[in-house]
Amino acid sequence: MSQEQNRPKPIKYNSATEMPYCDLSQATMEWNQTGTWRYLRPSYVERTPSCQAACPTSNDIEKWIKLFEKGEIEAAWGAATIENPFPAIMGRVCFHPCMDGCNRGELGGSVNINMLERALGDAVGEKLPVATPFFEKSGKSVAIIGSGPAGLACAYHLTRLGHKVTVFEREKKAGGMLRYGIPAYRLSKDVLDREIERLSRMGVEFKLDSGVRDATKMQELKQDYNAVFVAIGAQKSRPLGIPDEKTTGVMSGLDFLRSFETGRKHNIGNRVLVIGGGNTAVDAARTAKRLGAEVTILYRRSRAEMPASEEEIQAAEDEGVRIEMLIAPKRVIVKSGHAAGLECQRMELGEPDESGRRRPVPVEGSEITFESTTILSAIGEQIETNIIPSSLRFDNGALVTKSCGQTEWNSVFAGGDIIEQPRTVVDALCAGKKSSIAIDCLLHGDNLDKVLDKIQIGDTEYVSMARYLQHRTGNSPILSTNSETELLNEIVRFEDLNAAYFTKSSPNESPTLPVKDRLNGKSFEEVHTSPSEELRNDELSRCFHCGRCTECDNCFIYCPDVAIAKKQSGFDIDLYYCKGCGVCSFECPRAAMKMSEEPTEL
Amino acid sequence: MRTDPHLFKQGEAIQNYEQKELMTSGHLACPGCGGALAMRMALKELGEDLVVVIPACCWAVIPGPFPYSNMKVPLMHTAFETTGAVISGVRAALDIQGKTETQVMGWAGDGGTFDIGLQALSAAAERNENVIYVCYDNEAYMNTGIQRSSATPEYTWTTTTPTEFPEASPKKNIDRIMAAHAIPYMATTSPAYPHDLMAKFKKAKEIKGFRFIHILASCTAGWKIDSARSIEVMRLATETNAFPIYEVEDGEKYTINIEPKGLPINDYLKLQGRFRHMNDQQRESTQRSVTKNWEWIKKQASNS
Ligand SMILES: Cc1cc2nc3c(=O)[nH]c(=O)nc-3n(C[C@H](O)[C@H](O)[C@H](O)COP(=O)(O)OP(=O)(O)OC[C@H]3O[C@@H](n4cnc5c(N)ncnc54)[C@H](O)[C@@H]3O)c2cc1C
Ligand SMILES: Cc1ncc(C[n+]2csc(CCOP(=O)(O)OP(=O)(O)O)c2C)c(N)n1
Ligand code: SF4
Ligand code: SF4
Ligand SMILES: [Mg+2]
Repeated sequence: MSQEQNRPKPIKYNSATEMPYCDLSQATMEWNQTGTWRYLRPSYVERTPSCQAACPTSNDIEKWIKLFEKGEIEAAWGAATIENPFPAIMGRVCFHPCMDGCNRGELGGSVNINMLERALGDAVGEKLPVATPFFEKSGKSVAIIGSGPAGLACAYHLTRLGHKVTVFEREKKAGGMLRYGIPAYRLSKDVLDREIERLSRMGVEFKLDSGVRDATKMQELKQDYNAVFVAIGAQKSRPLGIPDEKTTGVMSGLDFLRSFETGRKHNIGNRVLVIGGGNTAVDAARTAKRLGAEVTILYRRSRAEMPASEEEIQAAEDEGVRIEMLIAPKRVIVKSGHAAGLECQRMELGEPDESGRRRPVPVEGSEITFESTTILSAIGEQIETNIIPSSLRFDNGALVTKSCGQTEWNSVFAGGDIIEQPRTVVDALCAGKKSSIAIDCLLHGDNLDKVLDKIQIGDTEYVSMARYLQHRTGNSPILSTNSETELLNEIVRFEDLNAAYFTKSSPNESPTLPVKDRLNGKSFEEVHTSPSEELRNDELSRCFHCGRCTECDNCFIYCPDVAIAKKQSGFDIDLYYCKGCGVCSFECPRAAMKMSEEPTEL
Repeated sequence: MRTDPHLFKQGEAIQNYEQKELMTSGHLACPGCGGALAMRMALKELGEDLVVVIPACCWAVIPGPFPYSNMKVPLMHTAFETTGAVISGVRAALDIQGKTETQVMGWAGDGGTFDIGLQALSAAAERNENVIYVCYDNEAYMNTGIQRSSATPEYTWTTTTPTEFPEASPKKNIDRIMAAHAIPYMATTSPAYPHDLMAKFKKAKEIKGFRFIHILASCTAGWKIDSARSIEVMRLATETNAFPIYEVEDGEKYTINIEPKGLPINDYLKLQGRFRHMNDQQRESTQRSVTKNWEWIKKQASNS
């Protein structure tokens, strides 16, 4: 209001002699408070980009893209790692649901977020800064069972929230399926090692080779720690259920993949059959191919039903893996105590089953045999239930939990492949984060449901750590720096953007190793490589920055009332003059403004 | 940032002008006025060494009553039909004082240009007076309550062309009339394309002789549009070829400055209440005439 008192005032003439000799203007119109005409008021807001809402870790992609584009790599990495601890890993293994959500998809193709995330992780590379905790040490301690992505994410976030974390892992190395499942040609072990090393440097204690053997040990942990997070994954290969599957020459795909990390070598011969259509099957097949074998995947449904990611299936085919559809194994053909092939049956697709996919039904009299030196079975992974106390329930093979992975035992949480959720790394990271927040709430005596209301992204199941930090501290490291910018929990869709301001452009593909190089001596080198700086910058420039101000100046230049001023950063709307026409908000290319009804009382 | 190069040159055309704000707030234009915005942009480029002349029109009211103005440059009000004559006079007076570098800009509406002021305009152009004449075209006599002018497009509703008897003649093509005067510079532009508008004033400033700039100017009341869509409607005028943006140098050299998307004319018509009554036949006829005009301009551009 004090500013209002300094406004120019209308001129008052006390007599005709004070007036100019002819009708000359003496002052500007700035005394005239045209703001009183207004019934809608513009303001700056921050909305949630659709990519963020589609990413289970609620990765604030727009924020780090903006910083990355400016060359502020460490700041970009800092922004990314608020929500997602492992850009370098996720840029390699994630199935990138964010890209399905990306609004750029409507104008040439989604931003290649996955490639950019990898580029970000790799740009920071060896000099990986250690993420600093947001809070002082709380004195509380949490035990985590299992060091797969769910366990690692939970450990990471809890450490940043100030708690002491101990991870119990039965293997000799941490990483879970990132290490023992996903092959090195997709995620190099160096990258994995350095990311896990970073967690150690943050203060996470890893107790390796320290499996939790039974429910009694679980009970003990529950007593010794303020909370427990169970993330033991689904690590047991599902049996084929056909005669002679225990014969030598038949092995689980998972064991085969694990052997590369544990150092055991298998002689698989030159004809490998892989049974199954998921990631394990495709990875086992591509790995066998790299050892020089001729590889055929046998899958009982059609390609459309294969649960493995389309990109992986395509890569397997590029590398020469054959895929036989609508084939189901009937029995192992044994010759002198060794599996020598498979007798199979052709299938056809019938009515949809409970998963919505069409059920394969055998075609009578269509038996067919395949010769083999090794058979790899990969028809799914099961959860081991032995360490879970009998009072906790399983449903459909998965541990039953309440919101944020809380079990019937209030201080025990679970997440990742052990619970009912999509079996992907990013969903595991999401589960780890959600449980970390729930544990933090429990340790602070906060009401979780009320907190969830504040931190959920739109109407999704995903939560934002940035918003949680804002809830806890009153400000957050990556939410808008402009205090006048209002944070709205609204997801920006393509229709919300002003499409006139964007031109169509095609995405840049991630660079890949040529197929011939993948199958020679360098066979376990990563198939995807980091993009060049030029490629990366071009891809960065394709982002619309949905729901976020980029200071494009549109609001400033289009105001017919000169009511918007540029500040050092951002803009100032002078409500003394703004008539509320709405042009600024309408012409904002990225829905970073809103018009709201003028408050009735002053 | 990858954005439409016509609409949005990140900071480029605009950056240098952000401090130079010669039009002030507090003026009396309606919310979302395209004409007010056009003046703001033009003044940013023309700078302070300038005299503005405004005849009767909305812009005679917008600057405010005596003893105020919303411009930080001298502004002279004049009679409706006299813009061409008055700017010639102001130019002569400045020249006698040796102020040959001072720019003189007449700023008139479509009524004051296409209709009542045409004679004075033509005479000044014929004499190749060293002035800039701007017509901000809101396609009717808006200040007096939306009466049709010869700039009103065919089939348009105005208070003198009600929906039962909508405007019967096509819009007069002032651009061709002015180009036919073989003046050094004739240009069309619109505040929906700020960098184009400002670049044209910058260019005009460097040219000696008669310069005519025709600016499309949305009118929320007269066009019956949502004020927030003021820019969008003007953008669509160009994208649908209803208002092509181009320039003609020395009456011969045609250059198209904004390559339109060539959207269907209905994208432009449907946002405006003044066209709501139009039937399919009228829409098709409008489509044909804008396409024909655009093809003609394209031909001139490719021949020059
Ligand atoms: C071959 C393969 C390829 C895949 N590829 C992809 C991919 O490209 N992208 C993707 O998003 N997802 C992929 N997935 C799925 C993804 O790896 C899993 O969804 C994810 O790893 C699950 O994480 P988690 O932490 O729940 O479990 P896991 O990663 O399985 O980790 C569980 C950890 O718990 C440990 N553990 C188990 N029992 C105990 C115990 N009693 N005591 C102590 N420790 C114990 C295990 O040793 C392991 O380290 C793939 C899976 C497989 C098998
Ligand atoms: C000789 C004369 N006739 C009529 C008028 C009344 N009059 C004032 S402004 C105006 C309309 C101006 O229309 P236009 O030039 O298109 O400008 P706009 O108001 O639409 O911006 C009229 C008819 C006048 N001032 N002088
Ligand atoms: S354009 Fe950018 S901000 Fe918008 S959804 Fe895609 S990556 Fe996210
Ligand atoms: S463009 Fe100017 S007058 Fe119109 S709403 Fe925005 S600030 Fe207010
Ligand atoms: Mg008019």
